[in-house]
Parts: sequence; structure tokens; C-alpha cells
Amino acid sequence: MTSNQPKEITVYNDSAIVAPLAPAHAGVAVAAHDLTRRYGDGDSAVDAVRGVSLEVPAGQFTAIMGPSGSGKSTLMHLLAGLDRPTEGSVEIAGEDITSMGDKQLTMLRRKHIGFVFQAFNLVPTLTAEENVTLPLSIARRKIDRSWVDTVIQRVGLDERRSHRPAAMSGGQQQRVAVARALVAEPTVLFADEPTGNLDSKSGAEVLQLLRDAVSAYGQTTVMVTHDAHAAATADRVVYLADGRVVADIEGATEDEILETVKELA
Amino acid sequence: MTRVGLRGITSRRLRTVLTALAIVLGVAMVSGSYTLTDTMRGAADSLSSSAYDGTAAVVSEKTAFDAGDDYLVRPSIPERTLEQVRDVPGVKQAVGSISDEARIVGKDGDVVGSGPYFGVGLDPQAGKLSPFKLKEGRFATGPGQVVIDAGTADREGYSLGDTITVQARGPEQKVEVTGIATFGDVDSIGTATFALFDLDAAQSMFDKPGRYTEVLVGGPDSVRAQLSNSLPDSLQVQTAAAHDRFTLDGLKSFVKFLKVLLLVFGGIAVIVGAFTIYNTLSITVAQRSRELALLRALGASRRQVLRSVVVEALAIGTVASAIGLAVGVGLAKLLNSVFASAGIDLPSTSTVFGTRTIIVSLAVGIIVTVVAGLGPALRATRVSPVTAMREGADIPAGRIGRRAPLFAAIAGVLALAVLGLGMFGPGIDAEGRLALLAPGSLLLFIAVALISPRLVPRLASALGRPGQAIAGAAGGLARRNAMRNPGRTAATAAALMIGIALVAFSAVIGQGMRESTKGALDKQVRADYVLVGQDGWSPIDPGAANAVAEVPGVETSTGLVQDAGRSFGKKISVDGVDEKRIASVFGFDWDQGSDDAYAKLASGGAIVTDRFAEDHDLAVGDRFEVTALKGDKLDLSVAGISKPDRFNPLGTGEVTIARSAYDKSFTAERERYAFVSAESASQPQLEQALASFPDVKLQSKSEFQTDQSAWVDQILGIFYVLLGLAVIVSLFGIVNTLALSVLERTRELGMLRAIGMSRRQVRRMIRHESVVTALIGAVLGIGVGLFLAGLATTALAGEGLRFAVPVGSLVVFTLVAAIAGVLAAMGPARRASRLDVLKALQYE
Repeated sequence: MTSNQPKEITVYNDSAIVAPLAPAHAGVAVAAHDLTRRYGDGDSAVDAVRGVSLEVPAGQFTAIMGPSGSGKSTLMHLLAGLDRPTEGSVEIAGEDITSMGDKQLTMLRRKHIGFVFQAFNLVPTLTAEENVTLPLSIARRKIDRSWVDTVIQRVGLDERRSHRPAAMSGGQQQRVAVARALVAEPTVLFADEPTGNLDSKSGAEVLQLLRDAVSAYGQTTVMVTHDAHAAATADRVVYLADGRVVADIEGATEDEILETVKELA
Repeated sequence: MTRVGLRGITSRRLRTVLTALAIVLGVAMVSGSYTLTDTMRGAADSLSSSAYDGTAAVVSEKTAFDAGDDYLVRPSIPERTLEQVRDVPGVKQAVGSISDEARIVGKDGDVVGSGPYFGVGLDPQAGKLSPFKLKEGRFATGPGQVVIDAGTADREGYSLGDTITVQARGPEQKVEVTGIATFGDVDSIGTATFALFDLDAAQSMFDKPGRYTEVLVGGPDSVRAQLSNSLPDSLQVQTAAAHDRFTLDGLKSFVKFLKVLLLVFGGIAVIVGAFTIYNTLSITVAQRSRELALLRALGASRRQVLRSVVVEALAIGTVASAIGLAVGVGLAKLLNSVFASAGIDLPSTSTVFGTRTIIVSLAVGIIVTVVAGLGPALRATRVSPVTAMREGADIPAGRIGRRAPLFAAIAGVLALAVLGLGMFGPGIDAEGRLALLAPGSLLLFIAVALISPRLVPRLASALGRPGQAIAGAAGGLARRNAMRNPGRTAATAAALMIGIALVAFSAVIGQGMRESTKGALDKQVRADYVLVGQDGWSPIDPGAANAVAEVPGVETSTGLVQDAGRSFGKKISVDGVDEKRIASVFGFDWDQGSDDAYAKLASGGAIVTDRFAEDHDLAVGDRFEVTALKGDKLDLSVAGISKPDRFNPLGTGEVTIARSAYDKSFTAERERYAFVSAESASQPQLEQALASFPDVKLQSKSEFQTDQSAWVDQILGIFYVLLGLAVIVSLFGIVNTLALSVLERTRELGMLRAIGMSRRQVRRMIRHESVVTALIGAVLGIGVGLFLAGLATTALAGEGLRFAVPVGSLVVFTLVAAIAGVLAAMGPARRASRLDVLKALQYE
């Protein structure tokens, strides 16, 4: 990773083990090369992401952290194919997604990507279970009932499968959203501030679900958060400031993360 | 605050345009109807003045009663009347005239035009007494000469010196064109043609030796009084307009009828537009609830909020009505030129754009928009200021919303009361019943619209199933989306419901008429063939039946003549039949009496209908009197009482007498129909015999049955086109609702795309929702249409109208509604599929 890191500031936690630069092989779920995202042009141009390179190995839980305006959300959007980089490229499961057209991106999303949003974004007309199986029916994939049951049980919503979103708490809704993201067994799950709209107890439950998915099933997960506590759940924290990766720490505790944040400030 | 409302219009441009279009179309129809018919009326008036203004008086045989427009053939007067008239002081000029029918045959052998076919015996000295002006050549001066109208000359390429074929009385004959004339300043009147003959020649051509139909008088207006005093009582003196020998009153009543017809359909479009506006403003208010709450939090009063929404409606209504008014004038001009290019020539008077047109069009458009906007505006006032602070708060359902079932029940009961009174109330004439049908139907529409939010979930669920099966997840989501906001889906579908209901109503009534016609003719007509006018209803020359009778193999060929008569102080129709022949070709169902009745006709007997017998308390053997137009009184005895099919498609009369008695006293000589039984003569042989009767066509019984109901298809065609306008207006409503739904669900659409929905699936989802909404409208509409038609046919059962469901047509309407749904979804679906996923996800 070293050679890809920005030169100016590189902070290593004592306990961090720097991952060796991995070749682009099957073990890498998401890889970004020299990503830049520029908004506007001419004098008013602003770079939200500047020359970021990043690899997310399969089975890793990565948190992207940073203050507001650091470019963390933009980075996630680029990694997930929701936005196109001005420069650089993104690979998911070894495929370059940067030049993909809408149809290919749709197929990519069906096969490789799962989303959990801050605002839950469930379909209000569908029951919890229907929301969970929605990605499968959209992709016209055969629905494996026992797998769906497993996923629903894992998020602890067995009792509520026939409830509609309006009849569920925020925490429950977000658990449905997690199940929806997991059910298609995506190559990578992107979570955008998944606890942002939740109280601390519900937030902790959702984080635990994500953590469990990584630990038990090796579900590669990339989570954007500004919350150190949430980030501490992850295997690795990539810290962004002004559109650059300024720290890349593995296995840090909440305190260690907060320490790093302070040092960087 | 007012500015906030107006700002809203400009910021939601597309929605405003679509809403306004709904009103523009309705108002355009109203203003177009007025402008077109005012212009036509102006043309008719100018025709009338050019036709009649030069004539101070018309002297003709006094008729025993007023026959109205139905019977054109007037009794004639002897030539010496002209001398009597000339002797009256004050008479400056007087000429004899013959007004009859003569058909001009085109180069293709068919009669030119579609009537009236004026055949005129004209004194070349008539001058200003006649509206005809020579364009080329000279007036006819002897037998074998004719002057034709410039319209016909132009269409058929006839010019001076050409020998053409005309049919006056009896077989067609050859005549030479000596002149081409105009009627006043127009080449011809509408679809009419005219053929002008020399007066003496006309007397023999029209079988009126030594007689005229009228004497035209020139002089001061006071001459009428002089004439009345001096002439015998058997003659009547009228103004030319009152006498109306060119039946221009018919043109005027047609214009009047057209006006009412077009206004009715314009009104329907306006009402559908009102539904669309109500719906759009409701959604707008719901979407703006946060903005309105913010205004309330900043200190705006309820009244100010109300005003801001009403002002929005008022502004849309005013602009849309003004545009509609202008579009209507264009529409009228367009229709006028369509009429003109179809050869229906009217004098080119300038477009009549009355103050009444402006006032009514603007008032209708503005009032309807504002009234439709009041509901949503009142709803807006109930937004509580705290809504501004909360996410996704809803406006509480209003009083009307909460009590919708109650209001639906009230409207429903009122609808049934009005419809019941209209259909079954005693002592109401047909016009009154129709007049009650309109408010009754409107109330019914409102009742169904109010209750439909409760029907929508079930309907959408059922109608969405096929889509779900076809389109999988997209179809399933569409089905749920249609059920998502039942009130909105219901209001959108209700607008379409109105159009479809009226289309279905017309189709069912039309089918009933078709089947009633067929059934009645099946019973009455026993002939193999029927001779009938080329247009299917014009009376035919009596020579035709005789010509056919001479074809070998023809057993019977006999006609039925009909004229107006008066009996028991009422105008009736009197039929004349050949009592020896009629039984084998035309059947009476006996209520009283038997086939012996035919023989009794020869000796002063009459067959009367059961209704006539009942009304006047007649039984077989009773005597009664019938007066003919020219005053003859017939003393008749009831020989039999028939029970004709109530529907009576042939329009047979109340009283049937022997042809010999008829010919002595009645003036209409042309036969309504002639019936032919000829098992061993071929159709080409029969047609050969009719070659010199271009006004007649020969039809087999089944052809005749079909042809006699062909007009139903024509009327239905016109109705469908006019109702199509209402359907188009309701489509704008669907587009509007979908566009708003897409906007509201932007984030959801982004999410669906993010979890793998393709653009195609998004389009499909929107399209299916639209189709489900349209199908709800179709199902409700067909239901309401069937109900109304059932009611109307029950009420008209006494007239023999049957209730028959044209299943094929209803299936087609449903398909059309579904296709309309697809069309309406095109824009919104495209927009939804093109959404940028990321931006959509971040949309608030």
C-alpha cells in the first residue's frame, strides 16, 4: 500500500500491519487506482477526491472515515459505480467499472453490489420479507427460500416478515435493509452512514450485524462513517481529509481512532 | 402570499401546462361550438335573405294543417290562380313556380349530392322573385333543357351544351345544360343540388299539367294583406320565409342541433377537465404541505393560504380559458373548411365571434377551474405550522375526505332519484328525459368518484395481476404503486371513467338500436328484396316498383306510400298500400282482426295500430275520420288492429289505407319503400330493370336489415370522436399524476436502480402503473355506462329499444384505455428511467 499512499502525511498505528501491495487478483474485491473526482471546471473547479488509490481485499470490513467534506461519500460513490471518476479507475471483482454503460452497471449491481443507506430506503408498499427478496426478483433470480429465511433470522426479523416499513422502528427498518443487501451475496456491500439515523442501541445492533456478516460469511463490506465508534467495528479504517487518504489503520480500537483523528487535526 | 401562489405556477411549469391543457381543450370545444354554429347560422340567414327577400308574398294551396318539415310535397294550385293574383291591386309582379324534386345523375351513374334535390319549374321572367342567378348560359326555355347549380357543374365537370341525365318523375331522362346558376351567391347549398327547368316543361315533368305549386309575388309588403282579402279562402298567403320552399328552416334546425350536440360534448370535456384540475391541485397541495406549513409558521393566516391556492387556480383558469377561446375560433375555422372541402358549401360569411361566445367560454373555464381548486385549497388551510419542522408529515384528511362514503351515498341517492324521475317519471317528454339524464349522470359520476378510493385497492390488485405475471418485480411494484395512494389513483381514473362510461353507454344503446332494427324488420318484411332510396331513407319514385314488377319471375313488387294526415286533432302518418299484394311482402301482427282486413281496405277500411286504437278507443268496425293535407276528409272504418314492433324502424304510420283511396286524397307520391318477392328472378335481372331509376337501390332482405342500422355506426363514429376529446383530457390527468408520483418517489427510484433495477424495468414499472390506473377507469366506466344504458333501455322499452351488450366493442374500449395508459406513461417513464441514480438517492 505504501507506494500508493499520498506522500505528505502517513500515519501508522503501532499495531497496524501494512498490507503488502496485492496484485490485481481474485482476492481483491474492490480496487481503486488514482481516483480523482472534480466538480465544476476552470477556476471554480473543486477536487472532492484527489488521486486516491485503495484496495479492499475480499472478506475485509473497511471503514472510510473523515470529517464533513473530506470526500468520503464521494469516494464510496465512485467505488460503488454510482459516480464516475474524473481520472483513475475502479475495479470490482477484477472488472473495470469505470467505462461501463448503464446496462453493464445494472448487471454489476445485481451481481456484485449491495447497498445499505442512511435513510433505509425501503419500499413502503412491500412487507419486510418482500423488501428483502426485492433484489432477487428484480434480477429475476430464483429465490432460495431457506437462504432467505436464514438471512431474515440472522437480522432477527423472523417475527416481522409480514410487517410494512411504516409499522417498524428505524432500527428494524435498517435491519431489513441489511438483509436486503446480504440476500444476493454481493461481492461487496456498501454501507453509507448506516447508523446515521439511528439511536445508539439500534445503531450498535446494525453494526453488529454487519460485523457478523463479515466474520461468519466473509462478506466484504465498505462502510462510510464519521463516527469513530462505528469505525472501530471495522477491520480497517481508511481516513480521508481534503480528498486524500491520510491514514490507513488496521484493527484499531475506538480510542486509537480518536487519537489518530486528533493527531491529524 | 399571492405571489407565492403565482410563483408556484412558474416553478412547476410542466404540471401547470398539462393542467391548463385540460381546460384549454374543454373551453376550445365550447367556444368552437359557438363560433362554428354562429357562423353557420349567419350563413343560413344570409341564404335565407338572398332566397326570399325579393319576394313579397307566396300564394299556395291552404293546407288543412301544418305538416311540418317531414312532408315536403305540398298540394298544387291551378294555373288560373296566377291571373287571380295579378288582378289584385298592389301586385307588381307575379310568376308561377313549381318546387319539386329532381335528381341530377353524375358521370358515374350515381345521383349527385345527398339532398335536398331541388327540382324547380322557373319562369325566366321571375327575376328577383327567384334566388337563382345565372353564371353562364341562359335559363331553360323549353323541354329537354336544364340549368344546374354551379357546384354540381364543377364537381361533375358539366358545361354548357352537355347532355346530362336527370330524374324528375318516373325514369331518368336526357336533358341539355343551357345554363349554370348560383343560389344567391353560393354555388350550391350544403349537400343540395338544384335543377331548373322551363315552367311549362316542369309541369309535364313533375306530372302537374296546368298547375303550379305556388305563385311568387313581387311588390310592397302590404300586398300580402291585399292578397289575403282578395283571394279565395282555399289559398294561403305567406311571406316567402314562412312558406320556405327551399326548406332553409331545416338547415337552421340542423345548425341548432349541431350547436347543442357540440356544446354537450364540450361540457363533458370541461367536466373531465375539472376532475383533472382537482386531482393535480390536490397533489400539488400535498407536496407543498411543508412549504405551506412554513408560510403558516411565518405568520400567514389560513385565509392567506387559501387565497394563494385559489389564486393559482384562478390564474391557470384564466390563461387556459383565454387560450381555449382562441383555439376554439381556430377549431371552428378548421371545421368550417373541412365542411367546405367536403362540398358542404355555405356562403362565405365572415366568422361570427359573438360576445356571448367570449363570456360563456371564459366563465365556464374560470369557474370550473376555481371550483375544482376549492377542495384542494381548503385542504391546504388545514396544514399545521408544526408540519414544517417534521419530516414527511401528511395533511389530515378533510371533512369531505373523512366523510367520503357519506357524500358518495348522498350523491348516489340523488343520482338515482334524478335518473329515476328522468327515466320513469310520468308525463315527461323525451327531451325532458334527456335533460334529466345529464345531471343524473353527473351525480352518478361524482358518487362513483367519491366511493372509488375504496374500490381502487381491490381493482388495482386484480387488474395489476397480469402485469405482475408478465413483468415480474416491476409489474408487482407497479401494482402496489397503483394501490399506494387510492385517493389519487381513484381521482385520476375517475376522469377517464367519465369518457369511457359515455362511450360504453353510446355503444350499448347503439347495439340495442341495431338489434331492435334487425329484429323488427325480421318480423315485418316478408319480401326477398326491398327497394329503397340510395341513402337508405329517401322516398323512391313509384315507377321503380312497377318496372321491377315486369321482370319475369317476380311474383310481387309493391310499394308503401306515406303522407301526413290529421285524425282526432293530431298529426299522424297515413300509409297507402296495395291491399291485394301487400300481405305477401309486408306483414302485420294482428292485435284484433285477421288477414281478412286486407280485403276490407278496398271498401273504406283501415288498419290501425294498437296504440292508435287504444288512444282513441277504437275497435274493429268502429268509424273514424282522417283529414289529408289538401283538406279531403276520409271516413274510415277499422278493419284490423295491428301490433307493430314498438321500435318501428320503417317508420310506418298509425293508419294504413288502400293505395287507391290514398292516391285520391294525399299528395306525397313517392314510395317510402317497395317490397319485392321474386324467388326465380336473379338480383342482376332486377337491377337491370332499375337502371333508369338512379334514386333507387335494390337490397336483399339481409342487406336491408344491415343497411337500415348503418346510421347507428355513423352516429357512434361521431360520438366516439367527440368523446375522444374527453378521453384525451383525462390522459393529461394520468400524465400529471404519474409525473408527480415519479417526482415524489425519486429517492425510491434511485434505491431501486442501486439494488439492480434496469432502466427498462423502471419504464415498465411506471407504464404498468399507468395501465392499471387506466384499466380502473375503463372498468368503472364500463360499469357505469352499462348501468346508465340499462336504465335508459328500460325506460325506452315501450319504444321497443332492446338492451344488448356489444362485447367486442367493450373489449376494444378496454384495450384502447390500456394503450392510452401506455401513451400517458411515456414521458414520466422516460424521465424516471433517466434519473441519475446518485442524485436520485440524495433527493429530498
